[in-house]
Amino acid sequence: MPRPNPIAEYLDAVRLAFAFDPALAERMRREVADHLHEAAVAAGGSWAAEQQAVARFGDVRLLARHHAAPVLLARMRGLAVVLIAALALVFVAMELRVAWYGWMQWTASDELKTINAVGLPLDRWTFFAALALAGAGWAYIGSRHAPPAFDTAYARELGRCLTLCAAAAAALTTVVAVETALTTFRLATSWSSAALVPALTMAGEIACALVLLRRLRAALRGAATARALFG
Amino acid sequence: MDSTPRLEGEMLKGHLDMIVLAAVAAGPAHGYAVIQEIRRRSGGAFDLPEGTVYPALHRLEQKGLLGSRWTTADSGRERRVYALTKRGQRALADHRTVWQRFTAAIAGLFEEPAYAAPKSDR
Repeated sequence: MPRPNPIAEYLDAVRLAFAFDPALAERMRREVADHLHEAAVAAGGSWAAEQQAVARFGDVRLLARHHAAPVLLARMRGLAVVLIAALALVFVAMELRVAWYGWMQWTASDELKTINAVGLPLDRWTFFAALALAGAGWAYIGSRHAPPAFDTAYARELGRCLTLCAAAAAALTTVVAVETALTTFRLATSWSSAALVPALTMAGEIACALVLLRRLRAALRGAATARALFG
Repeated sequence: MDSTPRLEGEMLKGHLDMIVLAAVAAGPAHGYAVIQEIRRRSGGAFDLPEGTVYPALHRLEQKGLLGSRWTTADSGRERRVYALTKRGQRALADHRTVWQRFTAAIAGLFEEPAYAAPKSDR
């Protein structure tokens, strides 16, 4: 039976332990590979030297826990920034569209007025809810500090951050969905070249929501993986 | 039992960022070289588990005190090399000033007896 390769085994363990951040896992794997090979060569390059290099490097799970705490908090802060930016951009797009309708004297049909009577208050209050949740999330995330290593208490804090961000993202996605439905109905009933501006602003809102959801999914995955590994 | 505190315990962890900055100040270096420099310049007193230097290197990079880039070593392996940034140089100078004041104060304390023995009336 072939003798296991200590460095290769350790590098596999690095990839697994840093699974909460695939880009960091790859960077660590490459850095640790260089480190261990150099240490093994300095100690003679034998199989025993490789084993000694691995032993001197330390517990890979502990190393990953030290990295996980600041990395996940930074990701959560990035998510909060994207959330606030998405809210601001969606608001600007909505206002721009309304101003455009006014400027073009684009009045709503009776049918659209009936739909707007339900859609617009829902849109407005859901946007306010998204704003309040994002503000709470921003304040909570801003007041957190990364401990020296990832632990269960920290996992709970990250869970609260994610809950607030996810709730705000869900509310904002609802806003964008309602806006899309109302705008599509308006454009479908009276299409002209003036429809380009509402269509573009709508596309911008959808892009904001998609970017936000993608960041949220990455943050959720990272936190869930870290909890599974170290929680 | 020896009650002398070990240098490589909590004392060392609290100053790891400063130690790493000081080691990188000698010139651009990869993780293994940083560890070797710390060991050499501390006369072997700071003998850390070698992996512990990486969270510090990454943290200092995030703070903008270190910069890093991939290079290729003579062996052909990829290597991440770290170097002090201007901010890092200023931070290290600040650390050095504070540390010199601190060690001078501690040295002053240790030169005096821990406490004066009470005078006997008899």
